[in-house]
Amino acid sequence: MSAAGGLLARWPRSLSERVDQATATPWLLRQTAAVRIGAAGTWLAYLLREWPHRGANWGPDAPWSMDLSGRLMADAGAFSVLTWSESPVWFEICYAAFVLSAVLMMLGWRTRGTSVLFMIGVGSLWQRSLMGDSGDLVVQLLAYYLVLTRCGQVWSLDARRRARASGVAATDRTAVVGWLVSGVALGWGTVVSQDAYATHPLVPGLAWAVWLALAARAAVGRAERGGQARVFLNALTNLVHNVGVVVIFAQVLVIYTSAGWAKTQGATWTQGFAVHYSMKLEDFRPWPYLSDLVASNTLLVFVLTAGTVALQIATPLVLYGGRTRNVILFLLAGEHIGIAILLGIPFFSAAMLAADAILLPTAALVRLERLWARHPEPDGAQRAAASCSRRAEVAVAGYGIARRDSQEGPKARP
Amino acid sequence: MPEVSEGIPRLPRIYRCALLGAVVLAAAAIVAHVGLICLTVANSNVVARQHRGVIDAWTSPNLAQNWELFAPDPRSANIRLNARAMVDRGAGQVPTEWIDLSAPVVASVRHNLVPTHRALNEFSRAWELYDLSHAEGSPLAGYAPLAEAYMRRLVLSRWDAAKVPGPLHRIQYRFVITPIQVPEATGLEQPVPEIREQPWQTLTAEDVPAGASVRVASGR
Repeated sequence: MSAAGGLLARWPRSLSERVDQATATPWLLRQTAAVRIGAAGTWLAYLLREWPHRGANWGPDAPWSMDLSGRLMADAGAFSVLTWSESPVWFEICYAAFVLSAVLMMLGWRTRGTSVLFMIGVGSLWQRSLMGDSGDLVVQLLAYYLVLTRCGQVWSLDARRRARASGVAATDRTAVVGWLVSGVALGWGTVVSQDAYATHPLVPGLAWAVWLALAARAAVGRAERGGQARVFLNALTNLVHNVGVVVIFAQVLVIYTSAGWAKTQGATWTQGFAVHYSMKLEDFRPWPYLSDLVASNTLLVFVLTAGTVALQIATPLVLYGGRTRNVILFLLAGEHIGIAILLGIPFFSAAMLAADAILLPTAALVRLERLWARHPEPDGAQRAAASCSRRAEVAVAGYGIARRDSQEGPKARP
Repeated sequence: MPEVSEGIPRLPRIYRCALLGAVVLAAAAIVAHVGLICLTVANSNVVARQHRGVIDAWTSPNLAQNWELFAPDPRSANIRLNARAMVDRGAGQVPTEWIDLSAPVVASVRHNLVPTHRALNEFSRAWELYDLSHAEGSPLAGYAPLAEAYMRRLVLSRWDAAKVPGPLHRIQYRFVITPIQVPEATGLEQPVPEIREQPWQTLTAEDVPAGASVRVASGR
C-alpha cells in the first residue's frame, strides 16, 4: 500500500513538472525570431528579385497558365488565392500584398495575424507555379510552422510597442479593425475555395484557429475576472509555441539527414565525383572559370562530395550542443554560402540559413542582443529615422514641406 | 523573458487537468507530424507502403517534403529546348531553322550573383513533367497533355517574333541532351549525346501566353 501511495504521490508531481516545463515559458524565443526574420527576409528579397518576371512566373503571362495549374491543383486539392480571379489587377493586388506581408513579418508587426497572411502568400505562389524549388519549400514550411510560434515576442515592432505601452491597457483599435477585416476576408476566402478546403483544411484551419485565439486572448485580457483564464490561455499559447519550435527543429534535421541519406543511394556521390556534375550543369554555372577550376581537381571534387554527404548526415549531432554544435553550424553556413555563389542559388541558401537559425546557441544570440542594445540607435540610425519621419511629412503635406526638408536635412529628397 | 506564466501552479484543478490534456495532445501531434514527414522522405518500406494514403493526405499538397537536391545523383546532362515552326513563305509553308530557346536563359545566368527562378527552373520543371509523363507505363501518363500544352506555351513565350516574322502554323520542338563528360579517373564510359525530336503540333489561340508577341495562324 505504501508503494502504491508512493507511486501516486510521485506521478502527479512529476507530471505537473512536465506540464510546467511545456507551458510555463516559450522556448527558444530568440531563435524563433531569427527564423522569422530570415524566412521573411529571404522571401522579400526573392519577391523583389522576381518583380520584373512576376507576370511570367505566376501571373497572366505565365506559360504554366491558370487553366493548367488549375487542373493540377484540383487533383492535389491545393489552393492559391491567385486562382480566385484571372484579372491582372487581382494578380497585382495579391503580389503587392505578398510583398507587404513579407515586410511586416520581417519587422514583426502584429506578428500573429501577419504570419497567417505570410503563410497564405507563400503557399499561393508555390501552388500557382511549378517553378518552386527546395528553397521555396523551406520558406513555405517555415511559414506554416511560424504561425504556431510566438516569433514576434522579441526583436520585433510588437516587442517595442509592448515595451513602450503604459500599464493601463487602452483599447487597441488597430487590433479590433484588423480582426474584423480579416474575419470578413477569411469568411469570403473559405467560401470561395471551399472545394480545396474540403479535402485539405490545413490552411483555413490554422487561419481560423488564430483568428479565434486572438479573440479569446483579447476577451480574457479585458474581462475583470479574467486572471485565471488569462494564465491558462497564456500557458496554452506557450505550449503551441513550443510545439512549433520542436517541429521546426525536427524539420531542419529531417531536411539534412534525408538529403544526405538520398545521396548515399547515388553512385556519383558514393564514388566521390557528384560535385563534378554539379559544376558542369550550365544552369548552375554563373562563374564558369571558377566551376571549371573546381571540376578539374579530382581531389577537391572528392573532398567536397564526401564532405557534403558526411556533414548532412552528421547534422543531428547538433543535439549534443557545445562545441560539436558550433562546428556543425559553422560548416553548414560555410557550405550554404559556398553554393550560393558557386551554383548561383542564393535564395535557396538564404532559406536554409534561416531554417538553421533554430539551431543557434542562445548565448550567441544574447550576446548579439546586448551588442545591439549597447548602441540602440547610433547617430546614423537616428538621423535616418529623423529623415524618414520628415519624408512621411513630405508625403502627407506635399511640396511646401519638401522644400523645408531640403533646407534642413543633411540629405535632401530628390 | 516576457509572458512567463508564473501563475500555473496556482490555477484551479480543472484548468491544470485541461493543460495536462493539452500537453499530451501536443506531444502526440509532434510524434505524428515528425513521424509522417520521416516516412515521406524515407526509402520505400513496409510501413510507408501500408500507410501511403495517410502519409500523402498529410504532406500533400501543403507540407511537401522534397530534399533530393542533386540526389541521389545530380543531373548528368545539359538539356536544351530547341524549336522550329511552319511559316508562310511565298505560296507555301516552310519550316524555319531550329532555334535554341535555352541559349538566352543560360546566358542570363552567366556572371549573375542572383539568377532568377525563371532562368533556373522554368524549363527544367517543364522538362521533368514532360519526361515523367511521357515515360512508358508512367503513373503520370495522364498529365502528358498538360505537359505538352505547357511546352507549347513555353516555346511561344520564348519565341522571338521580331526575328521570325509572320504567323506560325505549327511548331515542333526537340530536346538536345548533351551529357556531361565523366571524369577520366572514374574509368567509366563516356555517354553519347542525344536529340529527342517531338512530333509537329498544331497551335490554337490557347497556346499563346498573354503578353507574347508571337501570332498563330489558326488562332481564332
